[in-house]
Amino acid sequence: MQLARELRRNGAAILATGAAMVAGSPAVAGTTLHDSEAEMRFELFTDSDHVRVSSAGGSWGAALQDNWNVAVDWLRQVVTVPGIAAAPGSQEAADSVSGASRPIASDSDPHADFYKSRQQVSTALNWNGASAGYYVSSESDYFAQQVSGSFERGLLNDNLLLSLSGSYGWDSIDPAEDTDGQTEADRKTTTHGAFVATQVLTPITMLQAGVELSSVGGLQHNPYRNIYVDGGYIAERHPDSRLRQDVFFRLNQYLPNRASAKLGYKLYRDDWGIQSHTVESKLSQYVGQRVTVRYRHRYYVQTESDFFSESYTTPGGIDGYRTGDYRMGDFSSHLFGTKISVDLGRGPIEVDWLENVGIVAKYERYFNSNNFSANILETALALSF
Amino acid sequence: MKRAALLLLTVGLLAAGSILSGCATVRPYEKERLADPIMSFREETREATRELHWIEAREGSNGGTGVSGGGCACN
Repeated sequence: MQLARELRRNGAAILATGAAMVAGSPAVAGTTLHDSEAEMRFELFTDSDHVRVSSAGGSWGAALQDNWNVAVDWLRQVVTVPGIAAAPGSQEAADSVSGASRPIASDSDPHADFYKSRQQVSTALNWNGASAGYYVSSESDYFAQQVSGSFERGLLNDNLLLSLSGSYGWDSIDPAEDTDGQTEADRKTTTHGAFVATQVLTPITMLQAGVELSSVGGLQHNPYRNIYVDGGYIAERHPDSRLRQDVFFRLNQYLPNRASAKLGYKLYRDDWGIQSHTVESKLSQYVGQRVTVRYRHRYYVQTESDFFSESYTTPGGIDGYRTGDYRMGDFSSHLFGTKISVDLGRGPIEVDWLENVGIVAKYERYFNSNNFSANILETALALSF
Repeated sequence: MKRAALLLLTVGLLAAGSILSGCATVRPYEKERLADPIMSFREETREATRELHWIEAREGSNGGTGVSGGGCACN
């Protein structure tokens, strides 16, 4: 939005010089903003398990002197996880628990809704293509931190942008009291690296390709989830290490009549035996001077992990591991969505105080082959200055 | 696992090779369409990073953005 306004004011020369920046690869933790701008967002997530997440967040970024800029992104979420719909300890209750992350403590009412909040802040400092960032997320039973860095460089007259990034995250997991008594604090670490190349192919086509590698160590299962085994139930257990890798491609094509098409594909594999394919398409279209409409479809399919089973006959599970997490099984999902952006500063009648204001509304519907579905509603107010 | 790593590496190298293998140079004054907000990779990445948390709580894989979203016990 900011860049578009600059173009209106100053013409194609600024557009041309800004192209390399717009075509840029991901920045640290996704917090880098184009110029000085602020955004407030509100999101409501509800799913078929009656989990409800209300989010309020925002971003602020400022261009400083000598090519420095700083960005801050914050988020507060209130999560409601419904009470179980069966007697504690029963097969039905164990299955109910598997769909949500909540304790079933003996001193609380498991049939009542469980509430918790999460606060998240991420910051990034950028200078001449180099970025450094810090992320922190706090919940009553989970505290996560991450440091990250990236470097990007334009080549071939800024027709090729290469980006190398890495991050290290360390999480402290301290479950609330639960019926299985497993309340010992645990840790998880994540080391992530990525290489992304963005190439201008033609005056209306750009291609981006990336390779990512993540190594995860520590607790990686839900400490509240129990598995029903041979008449009783026992805590879930996943391996303590996981090597995850993926390659992805994204193609952006400008279309006649002020529209664009975006196609994306991701191939993912890990050493737990999961392989997935993700195909995504987006179609954006300007409607009049102020409005942009976007349609989106995402298809996802994955294979099951080596230790996944619909039921386990012994506590040892498979190779000592057992899971009640449907994400470890094979399934597919679809996501359909529409997003409408309104640039209030555009149009035949321009109002000075609205020149730098934009509003966004988004609705998305997600569903998978396990009869799970979710609705995501987001609104945002963006200001640039 | 080595086969998987080799496959991913091969696909990645092929992609990088095709990108680096001399696309026609587009001059700065020809990039007006590429600078349009509806062509932005960066905005897509910011949006994808925000949705990583709820997607990762419901699917077995991650990635695809080039950034790590950070940890949480997200629902």
